[in-house]
Amino acid sequence: MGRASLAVQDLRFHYRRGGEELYQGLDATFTPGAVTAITGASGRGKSTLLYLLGLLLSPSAGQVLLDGQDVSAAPDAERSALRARRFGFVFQDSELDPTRTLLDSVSEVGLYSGMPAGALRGRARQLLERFGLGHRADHRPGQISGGQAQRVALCRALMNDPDIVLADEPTGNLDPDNADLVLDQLTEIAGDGRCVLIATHDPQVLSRSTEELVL
Amino acid sequence: MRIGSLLREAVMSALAARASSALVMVVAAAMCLAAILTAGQAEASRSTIHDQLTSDTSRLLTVSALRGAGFITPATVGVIQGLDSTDVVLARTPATDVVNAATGPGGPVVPLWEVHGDLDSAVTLLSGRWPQPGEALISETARTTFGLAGPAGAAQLSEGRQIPIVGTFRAAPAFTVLDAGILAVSRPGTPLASVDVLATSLADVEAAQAGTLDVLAPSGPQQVSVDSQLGAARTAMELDAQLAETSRTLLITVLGIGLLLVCAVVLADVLIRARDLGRRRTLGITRTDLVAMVSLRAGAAAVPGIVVAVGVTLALGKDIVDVSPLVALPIGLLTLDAVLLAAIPPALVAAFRDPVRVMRVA
Repeated sequence: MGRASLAVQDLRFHYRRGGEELYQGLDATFTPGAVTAITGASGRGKSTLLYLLGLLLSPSAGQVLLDGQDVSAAPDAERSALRARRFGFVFQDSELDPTRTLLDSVSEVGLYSGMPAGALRGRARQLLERFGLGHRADHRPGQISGGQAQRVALCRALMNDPDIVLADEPTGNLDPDNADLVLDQLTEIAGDGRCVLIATHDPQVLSRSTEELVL
Repeated sequence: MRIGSLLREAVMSALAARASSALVMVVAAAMCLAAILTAGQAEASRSTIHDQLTSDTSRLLTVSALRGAGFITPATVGVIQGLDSTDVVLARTPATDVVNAATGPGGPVVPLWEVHGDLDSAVTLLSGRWPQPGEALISETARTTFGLAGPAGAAQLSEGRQIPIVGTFRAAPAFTVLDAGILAVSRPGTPLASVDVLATSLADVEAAQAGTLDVLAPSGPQQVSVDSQLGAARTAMELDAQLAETSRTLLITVLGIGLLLVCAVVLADVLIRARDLGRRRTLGITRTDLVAMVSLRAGAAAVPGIVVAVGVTLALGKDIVDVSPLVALPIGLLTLDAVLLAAIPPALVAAFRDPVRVMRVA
């Protein structure tokens, strides 16, 4: 049973008025519990689609439907709240704050969703333990490897128990072994009924995904 | 975000961004110090001058009846006491030379006034009791002149009449002329020659003078003489207003320059840390929370600088910086407000920057 339904309807987007239009009326439904790879040639809008789905960009035309509701045109505060509560984000280079501890980095999303301070650090510590990084909680990003940093980013993405995880080239900077480890974990995350969407052109990711959207 | 989380995140973020926080701290300290040393010092000077100009003496006016005019009576004094613009009213006879009754004529002479009105406001009773009509209080100076050990004895007028002394007094600042002699409570029918009127405030001097003359209603200008500080009062008020304006302008100028500097530092910081702020937007911080966080972060960085600036000026002591904590502390708080305000425009820049543009990996 899926936790949320995510779809796009007649989606169109261009960065500049009069610029090249992306998607040209894309219709797609993303299956909860599946790992969906969004792939295609460079410039086809893989990352842009993730940002549209993650409500960071608004489509030029068409809709992003979350549980059947068009959320793409919602006010900024509402879209921010949805991002904090229902979406998890994983970036190519993990995007951890180099000045803060791993525990702080994982906790960050909980701050934005209004999680009580007491629960915040407990939940973050629990996630780091689950991903084998409990002993590194008080380290800073510069003190861990790239693979470990990406696992911390996964912890952060799961902090608010999101329904949808959006990952932009999450294995782009990893060696095959670490990439495999991260993909194992993304697959496990999807197993909880979450939509996991990965923008990628990495054959290793494509081989592990259960669905594929080619742009 | 919860308020507690927002404050904690602002402080943690300020600690993490050491370079920009140190810059904000230094600018805030300089701004606060400059404000205290210029505007604060000006305000302190204004306050001192204000106190001097608005002293009780400036509020005093004396109306004298000339050529034996009898319009100063207990009844008119009572009406003047009832005016809103008057605080203390004391009528008196002309001074009469008296001697210590114990030594008799030939001994040291002191002046004696018979008075009617607010004696208990014009002087402070130091020993003995308040006099009844026909009794007197003696000043410390006159007591020493008479060689009296305490509030006892009598003053003797030239015609031989004796007035018992029942207490000693010290005159209020506006009435120090009375410290030279003896004050006897006037008996009914005693002609009064002048009335001292202390106005409620400097601004009331004009009204008190007009009201007093209206009540006394002399039949012509040749019957009355008015000795007041009305001109000085007007000058004092104008000078006070000018000084207040000067210190306000100085404060606004110093804080305004500091505000621009803080704004520039925070703007540079948000541009340098665009990726950090973009990540926060992506992960779900609202624009309002981001603006509050950036502003509070600048505030958190400024607090140590402001505390040091206020502490240093207070620690330097009155000889070097004549500024009281009552001036320095509000300036410190005003500086903090200015820093929080200065950080808002750059915070808005950060909040309205497209997070995708800064986060996007090509």
